[in-house]
Amino acid sequence: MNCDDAFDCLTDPARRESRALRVHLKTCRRCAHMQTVLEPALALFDIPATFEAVDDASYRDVDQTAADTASRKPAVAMHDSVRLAASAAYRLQAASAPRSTHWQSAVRPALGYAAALVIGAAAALALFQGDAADEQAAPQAEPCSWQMSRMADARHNADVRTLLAACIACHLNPPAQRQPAAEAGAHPEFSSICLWSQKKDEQRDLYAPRPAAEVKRVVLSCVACHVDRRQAALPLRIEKSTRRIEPRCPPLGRCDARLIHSGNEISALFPGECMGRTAESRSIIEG
Amino acid sequence: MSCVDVDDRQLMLRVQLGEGELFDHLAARYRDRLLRFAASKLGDDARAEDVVQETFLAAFAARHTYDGQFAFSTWVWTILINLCRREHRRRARRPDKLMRPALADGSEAPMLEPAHNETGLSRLLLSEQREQLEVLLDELSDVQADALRLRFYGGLQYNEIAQTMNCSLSGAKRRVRTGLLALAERLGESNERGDVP
Repeated sequence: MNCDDAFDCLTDPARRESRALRVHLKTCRRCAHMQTVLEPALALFDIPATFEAVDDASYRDVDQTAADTASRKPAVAMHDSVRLAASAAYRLQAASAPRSTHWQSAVRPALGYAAALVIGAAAALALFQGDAADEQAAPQAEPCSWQMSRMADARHNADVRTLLAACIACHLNPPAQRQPAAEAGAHPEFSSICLWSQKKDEQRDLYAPRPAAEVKRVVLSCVACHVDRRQAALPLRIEKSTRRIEPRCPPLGRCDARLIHSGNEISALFPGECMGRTAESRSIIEG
Repeated sequence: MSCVDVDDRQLMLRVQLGEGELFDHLAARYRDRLLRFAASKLGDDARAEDVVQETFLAAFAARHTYDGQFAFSTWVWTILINLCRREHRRRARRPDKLMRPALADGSEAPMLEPAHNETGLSRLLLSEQREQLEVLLDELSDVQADALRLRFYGGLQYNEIAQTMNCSLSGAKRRVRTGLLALAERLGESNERGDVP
């Protein structure tokens, strides 16, 4: 045990009497002195918790007070709390992400492009094989990079239809008909990665209903990227003609890149060219 | 269904997938510790109940933002600590006269105290000791006091404190250490003045 561990033990009620700590304190005068100095303060915290061992009856008044207060709590205050919770989640998520070194920062983009090229080639190969073998089957989704990074376990089961069903269940149905994505037949995991719920803009109301038309554009854009390319094998040509995506973003990376840099502007996210090739997509969603 | 052996992350992922009722298990795991923290920070049991309840409601409403990469405990503590700070700011702007309401005869109403199986004397001593601790914590800086509360009321590990308070691991330890030293020093001064119960 070193001095750092000793401090951990000293301040941990469960380990304060441990043998290892006692041994360390015998050999380390500095820590022994620290223990002596801190002992009165530490003893203050050895009080039983106020809220423990309280029977329900004796606590009823407090519970009632809380319930009354909660029922009176303005929706705005609750909305702020939810926003705060979402904001905390994003901060912790960012903090949990592995930090890259300088070397990694320099090499990662190159590796990303290389990986994307390999994946793209594999996807193209699978596309032609799949078309020949199963022309009428439901289109299988390519895992977009957004899903790949956040839902590593689910990506192999990714299915465009279930993804879209999740979007529709949450956003497109009229409020009265809105239902949890799982009940609507959508893959439940996609409802948790819904792009609307993941937006990092604290100013935006995460839970406000979206205008159906606005959301529909997003969904159609998803289809344009993920479904058309599977079914028609045209996308690379189209993408070249738009000159927006192909040169810098490998196919699997473009959604992610646009989401991150988008802000709130849907039109900036999904340019008109992309939206323009959605005739077939519309039939998929609406039909 | 028993969820005793299921860890927080698994429970939360199942909540995200639609098993909302499992959130009750998560809440039960943290409720007492969160309450203790909030009651200490806010100095008011009823408000602490409100804030803890709001914490759980917010976590549930924002459940889709939870990510298995970070601990549920860290998240819920972060929410609570921020809501407590918000509550503090509100009260600073609008002092709450109802916190310890005066009775009609001018005397101060007793704080709501839960029942314990303690003798009257030991209860009184514990109550005074608690009160003294809260007074001393109030004299510390917010970050020191919060770090101490997280460590001793919440039982958080130092890395969890660091994440919750958005500081480094060494920073979290430093806050606890300096907080304890400051507490010990103030305690010594109180002893010299003879105002320790």
